[in-house]
Amino acid sequence: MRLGFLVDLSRCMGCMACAVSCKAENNVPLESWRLRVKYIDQGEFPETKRHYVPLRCNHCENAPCERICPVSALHYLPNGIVNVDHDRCIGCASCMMACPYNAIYIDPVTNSADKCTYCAHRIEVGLMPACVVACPTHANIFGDLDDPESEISKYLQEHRDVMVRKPELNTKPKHFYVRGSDVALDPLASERPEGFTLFTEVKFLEHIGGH
Amino acid sequence: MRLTRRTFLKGTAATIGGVALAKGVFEKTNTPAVAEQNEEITFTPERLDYYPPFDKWNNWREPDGDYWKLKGGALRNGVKMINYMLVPTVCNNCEAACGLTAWVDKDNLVVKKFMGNPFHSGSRGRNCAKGYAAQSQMYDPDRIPFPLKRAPGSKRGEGKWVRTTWDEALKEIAKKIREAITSGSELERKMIMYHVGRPNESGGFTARVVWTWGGDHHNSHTNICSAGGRLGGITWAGDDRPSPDFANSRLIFLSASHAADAGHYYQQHAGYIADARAKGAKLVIMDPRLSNSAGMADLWIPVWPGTEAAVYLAMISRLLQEDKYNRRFMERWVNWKSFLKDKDYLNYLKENGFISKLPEGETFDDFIAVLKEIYKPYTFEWAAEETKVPVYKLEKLYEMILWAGDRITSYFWRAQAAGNRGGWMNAGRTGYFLLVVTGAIGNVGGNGWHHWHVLGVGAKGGKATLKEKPKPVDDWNELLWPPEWPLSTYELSYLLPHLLSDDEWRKKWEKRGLKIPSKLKVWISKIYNPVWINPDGFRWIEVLRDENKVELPVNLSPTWSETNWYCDYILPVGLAGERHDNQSAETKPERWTAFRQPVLRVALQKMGWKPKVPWRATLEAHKKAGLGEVWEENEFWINLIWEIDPDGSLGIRQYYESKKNPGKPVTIEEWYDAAFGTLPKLRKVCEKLGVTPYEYMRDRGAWTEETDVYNVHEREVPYDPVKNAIKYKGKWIPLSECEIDEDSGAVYLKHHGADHWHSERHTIAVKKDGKFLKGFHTPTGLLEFYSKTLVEWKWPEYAIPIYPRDKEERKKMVHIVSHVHHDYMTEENAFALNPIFRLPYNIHTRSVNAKWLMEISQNHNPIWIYEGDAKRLGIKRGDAIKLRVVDTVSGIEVGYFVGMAMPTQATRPGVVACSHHSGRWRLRSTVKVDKYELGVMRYGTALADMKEEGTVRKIRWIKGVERFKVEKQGDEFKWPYPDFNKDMEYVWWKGDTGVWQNAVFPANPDPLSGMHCWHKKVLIEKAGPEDKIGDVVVDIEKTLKVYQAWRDVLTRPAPGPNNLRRPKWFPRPWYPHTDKAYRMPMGESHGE
Amino acid sequence: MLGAEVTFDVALPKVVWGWLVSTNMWAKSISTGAFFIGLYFIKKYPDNDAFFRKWLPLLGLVFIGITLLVTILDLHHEFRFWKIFLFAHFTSAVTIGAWVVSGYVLILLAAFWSWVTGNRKIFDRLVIPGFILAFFSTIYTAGILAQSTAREVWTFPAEMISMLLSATLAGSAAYLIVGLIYGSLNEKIKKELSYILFGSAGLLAAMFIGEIVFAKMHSEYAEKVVEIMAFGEVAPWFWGGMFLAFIVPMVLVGIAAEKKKFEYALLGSLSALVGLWLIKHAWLIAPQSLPLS
Ligand SMILES: Nc1nc2c(c(=O)[nH]1)N[C@H]1C(S)=C(S)[C@@H](COP(=O)(O)OP(=O)(O)OC[C@H]3O[C@@H](n4cnc5c(=O)[nH]c(N)nc54)[C@H](O)[C@@H]3O)O[C@H]1N2
Ligand SMILES: Nc1nc2c(c(=O)[nH]1)N[C@H]1C(S)=C(S)[C@@H](COP(=O)(O)OP(=O)(O)OC[C@H]3O[C@@H](n4cnc5c(=O)[nH]c(N)nc54)[C@H](O)[C@@H]3O)O[C@H]1N2
Ligand code: SF4
Ligand code: SF4
Ligand code: SF4
Ligand code: SF4
Ligand code: SF4
Ligand SMILES: [Mo]
Repeated sequence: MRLGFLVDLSRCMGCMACAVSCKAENNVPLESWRLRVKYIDQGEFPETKRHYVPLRCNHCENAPCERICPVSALHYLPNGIVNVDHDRCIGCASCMMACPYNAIYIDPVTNSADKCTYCAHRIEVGLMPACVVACPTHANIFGDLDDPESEISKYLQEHRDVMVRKPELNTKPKHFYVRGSDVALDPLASERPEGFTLFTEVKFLEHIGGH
Repeated sequence: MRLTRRTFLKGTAATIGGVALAKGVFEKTNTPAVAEQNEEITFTPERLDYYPPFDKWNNWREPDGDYWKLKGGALRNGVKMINYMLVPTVCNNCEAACGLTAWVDKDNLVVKKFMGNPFHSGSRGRNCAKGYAAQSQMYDPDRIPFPLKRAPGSKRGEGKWVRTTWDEALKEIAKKIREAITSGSELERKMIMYHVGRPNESGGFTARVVWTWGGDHHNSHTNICSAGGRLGGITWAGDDRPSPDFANSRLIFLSASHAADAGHYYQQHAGYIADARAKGAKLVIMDPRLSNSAGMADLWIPVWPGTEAAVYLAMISRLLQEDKYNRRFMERWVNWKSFLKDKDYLNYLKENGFISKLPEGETFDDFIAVLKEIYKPYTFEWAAEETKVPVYKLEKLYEMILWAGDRITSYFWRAQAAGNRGGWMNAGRTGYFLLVVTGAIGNVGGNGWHHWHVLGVGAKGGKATLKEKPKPVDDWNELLWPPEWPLSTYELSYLLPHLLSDDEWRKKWEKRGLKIPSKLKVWISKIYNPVWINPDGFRWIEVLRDENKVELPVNLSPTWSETNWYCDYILPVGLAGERHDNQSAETKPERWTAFRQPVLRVALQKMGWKPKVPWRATLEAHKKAGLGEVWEENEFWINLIWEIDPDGSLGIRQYYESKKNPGKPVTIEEWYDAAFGTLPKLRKVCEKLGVTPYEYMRDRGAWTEETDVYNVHEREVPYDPVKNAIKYKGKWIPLSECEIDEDSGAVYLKHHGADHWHSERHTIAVKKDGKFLKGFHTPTGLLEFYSKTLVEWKWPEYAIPIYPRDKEERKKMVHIVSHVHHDYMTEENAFALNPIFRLPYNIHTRSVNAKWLMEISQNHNPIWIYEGDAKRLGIKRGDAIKLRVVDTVSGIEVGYFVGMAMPTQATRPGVVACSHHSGRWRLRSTVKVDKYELGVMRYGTALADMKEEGTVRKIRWIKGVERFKVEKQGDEFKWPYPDFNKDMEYVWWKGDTGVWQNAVFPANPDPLSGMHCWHKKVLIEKAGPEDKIGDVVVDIEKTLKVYQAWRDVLTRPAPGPNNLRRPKWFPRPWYPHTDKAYRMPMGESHGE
Repeated sequence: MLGAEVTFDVALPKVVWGWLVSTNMWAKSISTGAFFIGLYFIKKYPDNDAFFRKWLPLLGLVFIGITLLVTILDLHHEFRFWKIFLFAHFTSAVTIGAWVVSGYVLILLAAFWSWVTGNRKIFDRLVIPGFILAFFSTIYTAGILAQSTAREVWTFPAEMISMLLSATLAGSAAYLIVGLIYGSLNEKIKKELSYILFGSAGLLAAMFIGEIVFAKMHSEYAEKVVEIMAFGEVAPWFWGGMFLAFIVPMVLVGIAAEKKKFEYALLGSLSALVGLWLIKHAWLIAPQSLPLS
């Protein structure tokens, strides 16, 4: 079993249900996100467009975070999930330096590294991750990549525009996007000016974890 | 309290049933809907399901996600299983009424999370961010744990509070109400008012409560919301909103943001729209602002606000000229014959230059010929000029319309309808016309109507009481329905403080025999924050503070709000998972209904707990579970009734006296068992399962009575040839008591000259081809292209869908021209301000008590301004800018506010935008009550300094949000939930970049619909060195003058024909009024 | 203007590894540099090795101590560092580094013991393992940086060479300073140390300039990082570092060696150490200034 994720970006409406459901399910504290949704405005009036893109851990098959973790706090589960262990973690933040997708953060309450686990605990009892259940538009598709009959496998077979983020880094993400675009998936294809925007204050945190 | 497994199971034996999950819940997955039966945990489950199987809802074991991450899960230090009970309830964060399940940890009675409810066929087990955030609202550290009363000796607004009891509150409120009722005076009765925001209950439980008091007590919020959206539907079909079949349509053409941001049935509609798009449907969004919906649409039409009619009429015009209209549908269902027969009216059109000659015949082709002539001037080029949208976009839209045929869906609610004077014409009146012309009404992929699909039974529990139904009331409260707005769709709620402040106005109408109160004895508000969300908030503060105007203001609110700061009682009733309501919504062509419940109470009861006083069970349960002295509305009202009429002598008690236990109040179980028992199909299923309707709904939370509800207007009305009667609402009505309109086939009750006055008609069926059909709820039973009612109420120029063709006409037809039309933008720095749009993760003022929603939204509402405009004015990102609010009717400048400029490509030139969710404030960060320190909206508001200088009011931010440590206070309850709120120390947003724009808006009632017209003309300049973002300065004398100008210059007051206060077929919402109530006192002359 | 702009995002972590890590790398350069250079002189001038036999362990231990201290201080769980030995995960350059440095510390302790007791053999027997451990202690950081896949500018061979040159730069500078303060070095050695410093600075500067010019070829990300380093918010650190670490020492040390005015070398060495910290810091921070997703 290789669990994988796929987001159909033509369905995603940027509602953040996934992001908030994840907070509830995994008790993710303020200041931290296992899953975030980014908006990008593109183009000039009257042909302006807005892109929405949910970003979470890719559960890379060749995961730099797992490789660099000195104590195996990050480790693979038999179903392909890259799991975290707060008790084990020494808080060296190497994983944050290694993950090319910004998927890891230091949890300010536990002071350990944390990230999306594909809701590994729910998988254990045969339930979908919280963010998949939440999604109003069924943009989140989750399942076993090894099972050709799973919805995700079929989606992958039926779509020609499957993308992953930063394929050139050879991390082999198990998180796919369809109907995506460079603007949505490449962080350097848009500007991220610090300061207030239409919706929120876009910023970098001064503190990482409760040091 | 903690029970053994065995007693728990005993308590739930009745819940095991096997009804399949709602159709469509899991249609996109190939896995069956239920989790595998395997109790063991495994890394490689055979299936992945969305929800656990129903038979395990009472006892579902699932690893704790928090523990998992801490201990590293099954390969490391193991998992902790939580013993859950899944209790269904209904989300309360918007009108969509999506299903929720509360995942109650049975071992310590806390709700670990809320998820969706797979039995709810509208929401399909899905929710938006606000649904999931219900948990953060529940365990908000700043929520109110017990009833509060203004401290004796303090003034309102001073912020001094003492702890009180529910009993004391009940006594004091009941005493005042009882006094008014026993006085026998209509005027006194009118001084008792219940005022609700978005009730989130269907079928009218609370309305029935208020109704039993015998007067005209029920006020709502609706005219700041959707009155303008409703009038178009009412004049076309007698129904106030569409019920589109989004999922099956080919073109979704919205002047709204339902696809991604908001909309009345937000996430459900968005889900259906996404489904349709996946099948190839096109999405078009008409909006001056790039909403999230527009941002992902196939076509964005960035129209100038309030000119949408031009787009609709241009499309219609082209369809007519090219003979692409839907003849079959129009000929059958439009009241064209009545139109062609009314020669007076045709002459009126001719005199006003809309037609050159009267049609020769009275056939459908003649009708089309007339239409072609009327609408010919509305060309694409003209529309482009009027709307400032390039022609190529209109051409694209037209192609999509042709391609979609009759599978076009839309929704008319706010947007132009709420923003602009004449919004009703620019939205529904011309918008439905396009749907009618394409025939997209009632069909698959088209638009049904609200009443076809909604299924509210909340008030139908009367069978469980000694007396089922109260009598229609005689009173007519002018504070709710001032005579100036006879066609208003709802109460002129936002004018309450203005009406109470305006002695001249009151005296003027008193001279004509009306009895208008000068004050209120009791004002009870619920889910309502008028100080903040209404226009002219300082006027609300003014009146609420005045003990001579409002003797006893009460707010039923679980949280702090700007409004309850000025009340005498704050009564913490429960949130989504803490109270009973029935709620339904017409979210698809289906009839579903859902049950909101206090989930901890249900869990406790299922585990064998019993309340001491059954009619106070929710309060007892909440205390028991440690939630605090949090009650619910239903039981509160029933108990209040018993306080008002303890011995039954007023005849009120009987409506809430249990049939099962005479002499005792009806219980929730009895009430809702009777209410849901009115659904025949549900009853049948319950019989099969051996459960009561109450139990069914308690355990599953939702029920779908009927699916695929299309073309209801074509359905036959039962006719009995022997009795020569037709069946209407369960009663046989002899045709001898009816008349039939030959032109339309409308069958209406004989009554007060209804043959002559459409305003008097009560149509119950339409006769077509010898059959009686349901038709539409209009005087002609048909879709009314021509509304004779409007002619009767002295608005002949707007009786057909119309729009001025040039500047001259715009001056004459000022009532339907936006007050922010580009004609008015004469200064260099003049802009139209769009202050009405929702953010998908905010809900009006209900996010301030949800840390997860505040973290996303940050109390930040900058001013969106087109980059080109900003450059022209030398304005940069983040600059403080001043928006001076100027009225275009009176020319008065009322004040200004200072916001943060955000130059963008996401709003059209000339139109700036500012969201209303943010700019929230508090006057104190904490209050000490009893031995407790209660936090006041600390992480979602700015701390404000409020000033009064003569009639000028000012507000300025002192600081933004706060970080704080949440510590246990006392042992009485679990509040303020330190376990859940460890992260309040990490609040990282600032919260002081928003502005309370509503405070600077004068009340601008639309002359027809009564809608508050939200948009404002503003003059923008860079703020000076003294100004600060968040500043508000407004003169409340000037705002009052503006309101008076709108009233005096624009309205055409009642009475209408036969001294009517409003058309009889425009029913009063909430509960029925007698014919007498509908008429103004006779003997005065009110002619022109 | 790219025509696309983020309009909604949550706050992201920015500098994950800050001045503590810069200090770590800097101090380690000094410690291992002291080992390499000291070893070189001990081997080359066995008759004149007392100075190095004393200062090699002293400098080595003090600065590796600083390295270890800041490493532990930088952990979000300071008191869990022992887990790295108990739950060692050997694919991680961090783990390897911890073990290697531990070995290196043992060697240094032995060297120290050798000096204290005057038993030269202890040290002499550990020369080869010592060299290997010092070598790996220096370059494992390059491994960590390379394993920091997210920061696409850092590639292994270049970082490795850079680390080694940093060590020789720092080591020679450190000995010059100590030697000049205590006045206990002969002119030849001083001159030779100066040339090592001069050469290391020159080569290292070339490496950095090379990276600046060519890193943009790795990827767009690297190009942006270089932009930030050369012209952006990190530029003052970087150019300050370039100036102090390379230009100033090359000039001063050059003058010192040629003109035999070793006061200049003292200044140049101090400047080199300060500059080295700055440039390490700039090099560490710049790739952390970009959003990764
Ligand atoms: N997320 C979320 N959903 C909600 C709510 C909420 O608070 N949050 N509230 C609920 C409630 S109470 C209501 S009434 C509904 C309302 O939902 P809608 O009827 O969709 O109304 P609005 O959000 O007011 O406005 C919709 C869009 O109209 C645009 N608009 C503004 N002025 C004009 C104009 O003059 N012309 C045109 N063409 N467009 C204009 C706005 O920019 C906005 O994008 O939403 C409900 N759903
Ligand atoms: N500028 C501007 N102003 C607007 C709008 C706009 O688009 N622009 N939209 C308007 C519209 S459409 C509407 S409908 C109104 C909405 O305005 P309101 O009807 O006032 O709605 P809310 O702000 O959602 O809720 C009001 C209060 O209800 C209380 N409350 C919260 N949850 C519960 C609960 O579960 N039970 C009870 N009993 N009380 C609760 C809280 O005190 C909260 O402050 O705002 C209007 N105001
Ligand atoms: S819940 Fe679904 S639609 Fe909403 S932001 Fe997440 S992926 Fe997109
Ligand atoms: S996305 Fe990042 S955190 Fe997730 S597996 Fe890949 S490298 Fe690790
Ligand atoms: S921070 Fe924790 S999880 Fe990340 S690499 Fe270090 S020990 Fe491993
Ligand atoms: S799979 Fe679970 S942990 Fe990952 S983003 Fe979704 S909800 Fe969060
Ligand atoms: S759409 Fe409305 S009712 Fe549904 S989950 Fe969201 S807030 Fe709740
Ligand atoms: Mo509303």
